[in-house]
Amino acid sequence: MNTTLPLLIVLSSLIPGIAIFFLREGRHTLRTVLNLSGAVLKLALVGVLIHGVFHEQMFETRWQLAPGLELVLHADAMSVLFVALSTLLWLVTTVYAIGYLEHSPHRSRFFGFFSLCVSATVGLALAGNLVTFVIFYELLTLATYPLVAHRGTPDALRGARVYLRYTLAGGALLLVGAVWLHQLAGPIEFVAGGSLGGYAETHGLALSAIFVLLILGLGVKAALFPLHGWLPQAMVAPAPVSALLHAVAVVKAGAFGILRVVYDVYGVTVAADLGLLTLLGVLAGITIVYGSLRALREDGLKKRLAWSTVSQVSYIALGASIFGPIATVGGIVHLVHQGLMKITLFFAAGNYAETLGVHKVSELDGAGRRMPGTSWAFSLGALGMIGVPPLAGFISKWYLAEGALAAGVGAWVLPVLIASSLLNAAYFLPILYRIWLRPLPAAWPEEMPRGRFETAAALYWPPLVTAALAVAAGLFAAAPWSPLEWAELIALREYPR
Amino acid sequence: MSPDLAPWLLLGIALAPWPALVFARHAWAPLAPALLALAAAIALASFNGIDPRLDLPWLLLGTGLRLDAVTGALLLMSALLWSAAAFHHAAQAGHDPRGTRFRVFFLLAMAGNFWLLLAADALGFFLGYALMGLSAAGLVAHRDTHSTRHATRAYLAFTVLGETVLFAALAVIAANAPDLRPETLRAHAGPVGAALLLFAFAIKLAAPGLHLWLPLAYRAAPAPGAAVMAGAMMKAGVLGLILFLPWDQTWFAGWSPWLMLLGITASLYGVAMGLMQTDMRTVLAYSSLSQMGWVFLIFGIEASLFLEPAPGALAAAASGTTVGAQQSALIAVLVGFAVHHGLVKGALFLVLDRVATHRLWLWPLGLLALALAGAPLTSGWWAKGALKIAVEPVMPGLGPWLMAATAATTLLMARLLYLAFRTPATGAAPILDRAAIGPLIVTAAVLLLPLWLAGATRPEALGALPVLLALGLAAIVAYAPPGFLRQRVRTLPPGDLPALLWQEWRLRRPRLAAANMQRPDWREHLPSPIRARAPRPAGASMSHWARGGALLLSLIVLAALSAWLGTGPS
Repeated sequence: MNTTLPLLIVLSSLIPGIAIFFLREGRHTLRTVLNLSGAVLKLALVGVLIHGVFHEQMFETRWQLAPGLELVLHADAMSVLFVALSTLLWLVTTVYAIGYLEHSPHRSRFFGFFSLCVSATVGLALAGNLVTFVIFYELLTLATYPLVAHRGTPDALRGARVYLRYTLAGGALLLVGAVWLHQLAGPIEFVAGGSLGGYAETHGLALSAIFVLLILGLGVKAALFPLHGWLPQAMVAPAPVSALLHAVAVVKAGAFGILRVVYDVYGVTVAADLGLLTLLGVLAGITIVYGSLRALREDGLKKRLAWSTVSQVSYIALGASIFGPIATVGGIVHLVHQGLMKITLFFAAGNYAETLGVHKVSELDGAGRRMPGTSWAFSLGALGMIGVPPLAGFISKWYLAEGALAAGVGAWVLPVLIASSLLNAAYFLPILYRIWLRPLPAAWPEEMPRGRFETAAALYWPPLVTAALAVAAGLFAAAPWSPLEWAELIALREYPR
Repeated sequence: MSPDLAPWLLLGIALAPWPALVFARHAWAPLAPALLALAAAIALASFNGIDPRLDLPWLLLGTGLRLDAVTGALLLMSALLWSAAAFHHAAQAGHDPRGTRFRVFFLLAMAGNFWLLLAADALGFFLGYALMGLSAAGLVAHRDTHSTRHATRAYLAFTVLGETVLFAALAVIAANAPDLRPETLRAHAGPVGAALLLFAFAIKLAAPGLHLWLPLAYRAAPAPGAAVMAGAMMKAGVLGLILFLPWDQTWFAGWSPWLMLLGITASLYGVAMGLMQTDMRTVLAYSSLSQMGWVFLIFGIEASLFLEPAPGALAAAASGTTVGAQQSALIAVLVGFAVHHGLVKGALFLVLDRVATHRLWLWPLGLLALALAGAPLTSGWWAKGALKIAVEPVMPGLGPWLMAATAATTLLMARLLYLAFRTPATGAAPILDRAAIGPLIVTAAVLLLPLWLAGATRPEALGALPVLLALGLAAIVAYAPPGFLRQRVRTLPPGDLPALLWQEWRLRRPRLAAANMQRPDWREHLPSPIRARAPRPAGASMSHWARGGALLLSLIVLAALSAWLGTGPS
């Protein structure tokens, strides 16, 4: 049993983060070194963790707050998946953010909160019980607010206020649910297969009510309909923050929480017996279609992407709502796949905005000729979202479809998936058409001078790296160590044999 | 060369287009992978009797490559077409500023096409199919005018719909199947899966009602693009049906009449609409539509072999074979037909590109048109003859129908030649230059194709009667007093009924109507002598539909006539 590694993983971004707050604005080099060394160190530690968890070693840090109230950091297969995703993407996003914010003010404040945000995410990924999860969940809210408000413009402040209002309310619901559950069943540890089986007979109604509270609380961050209102508003944040919100931290934290509640608190069998999965499934299905319909009408590139996130993240909830290991694999693996594809899209959108001053879909004509690398990355991300093989999104959709059919709910899930694919195509393909097939405009709204690459190197490489990962995750899905393999490992442990 | 190399040849063909993408700036870049694939396909064909396989267990959800007699023949045809089209493009792309972009999409579509031909399972096929379908949008959009933009939108809408439905079909079928190999999926397919599958591939094969994209796309794409779309890519739909439609399952027999009805409708509809077109490429598109009717018809016959009281079983017993053997024979006929149609259609698009440069090109065009119609000793004659021989013991009524359809196709080809004849030749290019090589190679392949097809049939299976009959009728119409035809048959826009409905709908929406007024309409792209005779915008309305109906009726009469004549000699 290793008691320090989970703590070290959280601290590896927390300590550099706190140190950065105290740096003067001009200490560019030192700040960059702190940022990157923290990110690289964390990646290395996560590598050790993955290896250990695969070989069924125990990693756990416990700290008693009060009698019966413990802070627990614990690594199981599911937390490792999320930790690995956010650590890897944090490294890439840090590089991107350094390039993106090159000349803007308040960089120390920004990177400080940036690191806090990731520490909170990793903390909630590693949380071993519900209390720890709730604490980190609230910390995440607080650490992200300054990032959304970073620009300080009235728009940014309004977006951040909306964000705070939604997430604090969601956090409150989550807290109420968690306390009620604690009252009912004592400390709730996350265990594969759930730990509430004994209460299902006697306290069915209470458990259902608590489930609704928890899902509503988590649904705010996961942007489930009708709790999604903050997400399109929060796109006023700088592109690296959007990438973080949509792919690495916030939205993912909500979706991850839903997976935890369904699989490791209630247990999928209990949740299915209480009829709670159907509720979640209907909510997810509505969100998937509604988000896509709204995306169709947006001209703002980042706003369209935000609505697309609303729709795509609900695939994870959809996977969790279908009883059966295949759909579970689809939902869990989409946590990773959506992250890779969506971060690529936001990086690319940021590049268009930063390099060309292009913020709208209707201004993207010919962008592929000016910025081929960024545009390839964007195209791969978009096609992956539609579900075109061999990209990552296809694998998720295939597993969700197969899982739904195996569980006998294909009659409504398959039409939802088809509608979603068609709508995705309807709002992404016109963008690709403009990028690649329309002629260049006479001038770009606000063009940055050309350097060695089509844009600054720190902006050029991150989308290419994440796009390559999105291709690899789909193309080599059956290879060992792919996200799919890992998701299958998790699903195997969740279902009673 | 040793047959041990065969699996690596498969991988070579499948991956060849990818490195060429790096060199897409060079006009000749697409030729190298196409020629490589052609050479490898020839080498593979020479290893008679070996069906090479290569397992790729770590790719996608575990897939692989394989080649058998069916895909081998299609691969040869496709590789030849891709090579000729790549050559044709390179020979005349020197001054195209958008050439690089064209080659990138061309290579991606090629990669998808090769991959789907070689894929050993459903997901591999779907990967290639989706890559090919989406990349081809870049070929349609190449010229970037109002009409190509409209064509691209229509093409993409239908293609994405088809691919999404195909995804659903494969998911539904795979849910009951232990693995994803085509044979397994056919054995486990149910009615829902089969219906979705049929719908998905009906879009690719432009079945009536799902065909709006086809005439638009074939007219918009540059000649090399149109040649591979009509020749190689459309045959992916045929292969998809062969691989996944449960034609070898007993329960599928009930679908037989519907498939045959669909096939016959497509054949007649394509010819009727095609005859009212004024653009040569659109005529070719409608001819594809009508020819693909044969595919549905053949699957209908396949299914009918299981019907009760089983004509298949009876005939099989009479000739000492099994139903399975009859089915395989029909599939072989279908593949022969697909290869014939792919090559001829590809060649037609390439030759058509040269017709405006020199009058002499009318001769190869005429030869190809005759081959498509099925004139004696051409590939079409052998392909349809093989079909007649395979079908006759099972369904004697179909022989005359074959005659009738041949006559109808001949009429459509006469229309094509008439339009080509009226196109003024600029004489700008010499008859023989580099750009002549691609078209000539495919034309030569078409002329040599009977050697390969001849193994399957007897020359007397299909007489010369239907072609002669139709040519006679065409001659009468052509030499009729001027204005005779003009007053009776009007033209239709590419896309016929759906396009007209679309136009009406737009005109009825005032907001869009304003935009519509400024939009140049399709007539602008016609050669000027034809444009003068094309109906004005106000006239292009539903009233033409009635005339179309009349034409369709008269075609049915002609069909009945030649069918009746056809029963006589045979």
